[in-house]
Amino acid sequence: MTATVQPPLPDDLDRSVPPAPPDGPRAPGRIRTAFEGPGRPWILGAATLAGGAAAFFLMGAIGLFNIPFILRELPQGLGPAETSLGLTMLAFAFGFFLAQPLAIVRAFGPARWSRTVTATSPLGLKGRAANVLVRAAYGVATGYVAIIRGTPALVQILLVYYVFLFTEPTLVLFGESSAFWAGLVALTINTTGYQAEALRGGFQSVDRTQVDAGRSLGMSTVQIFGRVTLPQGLRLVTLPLANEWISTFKTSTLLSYITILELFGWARSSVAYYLGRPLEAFVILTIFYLAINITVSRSITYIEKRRRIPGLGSLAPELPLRPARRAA
Amino acid sequence: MTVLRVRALNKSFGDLHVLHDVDLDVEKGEVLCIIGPSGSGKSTLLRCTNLLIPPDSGEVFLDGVRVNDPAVRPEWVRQQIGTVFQSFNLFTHLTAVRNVMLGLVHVKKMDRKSARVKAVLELERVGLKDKLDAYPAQLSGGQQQRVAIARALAMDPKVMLFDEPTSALDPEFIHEVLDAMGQLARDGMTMVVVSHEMGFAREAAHAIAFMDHGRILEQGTPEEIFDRPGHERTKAFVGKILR
Repeated sequence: MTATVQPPLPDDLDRSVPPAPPDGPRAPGRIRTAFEGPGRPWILGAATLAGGAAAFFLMGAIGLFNIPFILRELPQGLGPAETSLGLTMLAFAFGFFLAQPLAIVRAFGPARWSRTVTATSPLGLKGRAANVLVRAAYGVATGYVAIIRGTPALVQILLVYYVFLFTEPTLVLFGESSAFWAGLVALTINTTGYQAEALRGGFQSVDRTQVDAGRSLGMSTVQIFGRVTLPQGLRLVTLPLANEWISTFKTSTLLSYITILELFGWARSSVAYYLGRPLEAFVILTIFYLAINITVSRSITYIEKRRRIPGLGSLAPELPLRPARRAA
Repeated sequence: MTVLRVRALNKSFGDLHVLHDVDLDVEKGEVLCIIGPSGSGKSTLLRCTNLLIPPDSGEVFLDGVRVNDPAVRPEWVRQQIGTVFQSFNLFTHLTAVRNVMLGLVHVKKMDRKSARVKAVLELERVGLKDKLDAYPAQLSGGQQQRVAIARALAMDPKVMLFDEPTSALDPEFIHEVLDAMGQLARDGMTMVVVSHEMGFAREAAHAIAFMDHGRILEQGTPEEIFDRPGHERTKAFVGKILR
């Protein structure tokens, strides 16, 4: 039988280096798709953006909206954008740390507990007490995730806002009002639930053989988690976590409902209502959200690529490594 | 001196009685090969020995110390028993040298610098000096298994357990792993090897144990087991694998 060269399936990965079999030269005579080759995906992305920009100017040209007005008002949004970004980043960062224990409990809850760790009894807990504690923690974590995922973010935000309003209406911390802190708490509570689920998936995807290897070396349960499961799990969830960041950023628009003057609230109240230009207001918002989200997602992809480890992570494992990281 | 002594070891998974009163003695510097049909409990025996799974009953002694005892930390036991797995189980997020260093730094509490020196030394011993900074995915199966051997050796174990170390390898890589194991045996390492590599068993093993249905049916020198097996089932099994 003669060897046939399979054309590769097109995919949307940014292949900065053309894929090659690990040993030996690249299969000859293969047809490259538009998705492959250095910098190629940029062409499609840039074309789409250019199309959007063209549509934008076309609509401006036919007088649907006022481009000079948009360009004049755009810088006014920098302050509110800072509020949106600041709230998102703080909430995401707090959520990341709060999600760890939830994810651990959810990933290694009662089902795995009895099988893997009873013999080692971490935290010095033994037998019944440990069992009861793990079950309770698992129940709480599962309930928390169910509540967060099962209710609209807007409801969560309003609930937290009214709790703040009825308890500490005049609170001012670091120059920020009660509403701001209510917004930060609500956003954190929300993203914690989603990040916990993403992390749980990552921790559970780490192969059991990796844990066996750590145990065979005499590592403790905590050491294995910190040195093996966590670093591998985090690499597996880079993409879901990036999605969650973008999702949190978009959820932050809802904070306008509780009087926080973030991007959406600013555009709606100042530009749309006060200046009476709703179309321009939402074009400005599109520009802001798009610019920030594209910047963030491209940065994460870049970092992920720079820090890639062969055979691990959401990027294609067969991609060759950058020369700098090759074996010395 | 008996390094590893197993007495009346029993293990069940639900209704499945995997190990029946298994007794085993491994002297210092001895290489013991365990053979037997799949499902006979060979791997479970190894995993009970290093306490990766707790035995139901029976005793495991390491250097005369009873180790399957609630008073003994299983981590302390496993640290002294090197284990090489069928599927290598290298840490995929670490380079070869850092795979070897991990246990040294975090279990043996060595400082990173001397841990690295030792890790490089161990990798040199298995002929991988030029692969220090390669990730597992960049290594062949044979190279990965040799890194795994180096990683276990670096902990200075009293005994090394090999759980079918060559059965996940492509044929072309088997000899390099067996060579590393043979060298280890000549250096006087105490080894328990679950393997059907007859060449290795004949050349390196001092004793062969035949296991079937969770029992050690017969134990003897390679000549005794391969050339004049006493038990009917040993005869049948040896006949099959030697053919």
